[in-house]
Amino acid sequence: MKRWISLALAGAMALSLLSGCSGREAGGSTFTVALDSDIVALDPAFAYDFTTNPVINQITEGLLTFDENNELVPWLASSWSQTDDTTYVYTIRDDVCFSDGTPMTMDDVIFSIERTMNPDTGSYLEWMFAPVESIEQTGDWELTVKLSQPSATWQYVFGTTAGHVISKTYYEEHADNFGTAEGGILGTGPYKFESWSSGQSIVLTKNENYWDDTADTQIERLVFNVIPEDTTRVTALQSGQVTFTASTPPDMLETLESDDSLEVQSIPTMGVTFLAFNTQRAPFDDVNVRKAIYSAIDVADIKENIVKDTGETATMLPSNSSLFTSSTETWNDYAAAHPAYTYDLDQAKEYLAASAYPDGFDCTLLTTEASIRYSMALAIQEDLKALNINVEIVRVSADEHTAYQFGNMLDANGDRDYDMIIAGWESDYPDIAGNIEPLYSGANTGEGGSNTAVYTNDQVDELLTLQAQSTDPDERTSYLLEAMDIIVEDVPYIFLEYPNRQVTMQKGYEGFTLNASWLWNLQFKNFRQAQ
Amino acid sequence: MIRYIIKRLMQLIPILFAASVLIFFLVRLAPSDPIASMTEGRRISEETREALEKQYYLDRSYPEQYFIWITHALQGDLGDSFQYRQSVTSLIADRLPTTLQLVIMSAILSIIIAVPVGVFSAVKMNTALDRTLSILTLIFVASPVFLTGIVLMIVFALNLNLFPTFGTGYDFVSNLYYLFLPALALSLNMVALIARITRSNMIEQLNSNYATTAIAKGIPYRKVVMGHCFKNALIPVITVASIQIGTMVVGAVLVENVFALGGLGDVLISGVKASDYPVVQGITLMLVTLFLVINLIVDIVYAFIDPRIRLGKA
Repeated sequence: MKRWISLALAGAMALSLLSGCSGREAGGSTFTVALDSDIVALDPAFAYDFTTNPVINQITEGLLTFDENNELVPWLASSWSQTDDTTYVYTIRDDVCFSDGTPMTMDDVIFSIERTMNPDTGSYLEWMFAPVESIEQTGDWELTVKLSQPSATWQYVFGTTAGHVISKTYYEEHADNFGTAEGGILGTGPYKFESWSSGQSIVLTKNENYWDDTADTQIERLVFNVIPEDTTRVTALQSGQVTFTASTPPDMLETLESDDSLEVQSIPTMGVTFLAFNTQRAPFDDVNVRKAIYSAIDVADIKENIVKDTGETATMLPSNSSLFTSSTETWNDYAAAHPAYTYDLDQAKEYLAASAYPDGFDCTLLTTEASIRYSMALAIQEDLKALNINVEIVRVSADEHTAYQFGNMLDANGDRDYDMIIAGWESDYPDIAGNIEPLYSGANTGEGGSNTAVYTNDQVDELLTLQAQSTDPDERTSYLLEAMDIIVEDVPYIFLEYPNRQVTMQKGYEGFTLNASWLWNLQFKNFRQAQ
Repeated sequence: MIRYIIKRLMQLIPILFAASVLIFFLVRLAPSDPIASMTEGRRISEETREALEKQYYLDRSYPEQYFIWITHALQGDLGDSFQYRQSVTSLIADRLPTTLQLVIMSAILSIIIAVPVGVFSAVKMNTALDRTLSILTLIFVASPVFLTGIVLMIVFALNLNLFPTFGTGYDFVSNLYYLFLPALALSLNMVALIARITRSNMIEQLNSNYATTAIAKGIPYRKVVMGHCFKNALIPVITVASIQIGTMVVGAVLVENVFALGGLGDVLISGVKASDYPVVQGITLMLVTLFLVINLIVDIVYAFIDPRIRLGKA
């Protein structure tokens, strides 16, 4: 028997040699972040989600960025200006260097932008460059962008990962495997890439050559751990193995909040959760049916009992105040004047009586497995029974849901194959047009389109086009408000909540502000332990 | 013997071919759009969509895609993952060692635990101790591995703070330490099964004529149990254990997910969720191959032990 055991132990030890893990014992000050999935690539051109961006933002930086008030501020560009309706001039900083010490040149800037812009790259951000006619160097450190027509949202593009700069030399030396664990990446950010073990961890170390002298970076090593299972992520935070996560499971909030060593912060996002009607399909093509449904759904009750603190109360606008970056007062007034549709069953019955379906009907409601959305679906199903509308809830995988939401799943007539769907949208930049345009523009009803209600209204389309081509903030706001007046009467969507993002971390860190746009562009460089 | 092995190897080819066809078309049955899940539904221009479709051969017909995949696979290239911009081959190379280590560690653990338990239960048949062990093993059989994993993690990692909650460690020693809980979680199902089989085989051997004769002859009971009965009882145990290793690969998927080990299972699950065809195809094909090879090795070992098998007379 003893021989058995010693043989087995020897075998186990020999086996562990096989293991592919790498890394060293943590030394110095290490900050551990838990991600809920692995990153797509070490490449800003493919950084377009809430796990890849927080990693990439430490390594590469953009020409512009957003400050704690969600406002656009210069970054690798020292200033920028709009010289006419279609021309933007950026002055690039001349004192920036990459983490290997080599200076950043105009060549690097132009190369990085052109690479993302080139359709052959397949970048997920290429569409942002649609209005661009040309990008040229017009001075030693001057970059001029000409647009083919005025664009309201062009100003934001260089504040996203689409404006991030990589080293051209490094890219060319690693053309075959750039952005992979072997090829790596070289940028100007406060941290540099050290290692990436697929499915396990990404390790970054402090960039000793960081160009921004105002940064006081105390954390030497940033370790991103991939922990897909919710319970494990929570346990790892409770046991202290992980310092920080932006992926707090909403149904375990109470456990985390009651833990003395942890701090949970609820941060507004630029997103919205909605119930969309397929307005191309009977009976939801009948506006009275849609009105009957909004009057019969108790949105306030859903907020109080299901959403709780994981989101904010919604209005008739597809956004909370974090997107009211221009004409703030006007938007706040509009939101106050248009609270959520009120629950009124008698009114609902009147609307339904006025529709072509006074006796009710059967329909389906598509949602994912996510617990909050499923609970919303159950509440809606219950509420609509009062109108004799029988809702069958259909739960699909997140991936399938995406395919439905963006019009990739069609029925025999070539129309979108759902009756009602619970889904969400989040703007790419802090501007309310980033939620209005994708949800209501008739141009977005096709395959891959974000207009989930398949809502079309010529007048709305015209107003949205006018605002998109205007660069005067007040003029844009008036077009958008006019469009919203029409939309509010047509009810293509019912907004259920503005989701918050819960961030959990070990107590005792300071030096940062978290806001709606931070996960798109947060840097960890000023995080430090409180004295 | 060599002819037997060659014959068995030749039989693998049609099986693998059929499996590859099945896998290839089954993953494409799922209703979804890989490009949409890559970009999370964000609108991309027609040119970018075309460029991405071209990069991943999605613009070709299914038979063409199959042909490209299988010819590349034969050269060791399983294509590029949709969700991670890496080759499937490098994903597997990164993650296979963890999965293999987990499976083998838990196979060893379960044999170390189960065999003594089985022998002990057999010797103490129908005593209170035997019954307690029976109930325990019954509970282990009935618990799904992810539940066992979470319970072990909460007790030993969070409450007692004896083990880390996730990860694979950073060097040789810490690696064994980090993988101990996951391996234990994965082994408990198998412990239960092997303990039951060891017990019943031991009882059968202990009741056999040769055991009675040996005892009658005055050979010490301990020597009868360990020297004679145990050896004979072990053969079926090895059979079951080797078949169970295949099943363990499936369980490993769940355990890796719970303990965030970043093994093959983890990437397979996320691949299925995201319609990442190359990942699902590549890993499933590899698992099928692994399964077939394990079976083949077991068969060869049998043939080696028992000439009747290789001569086809059994």
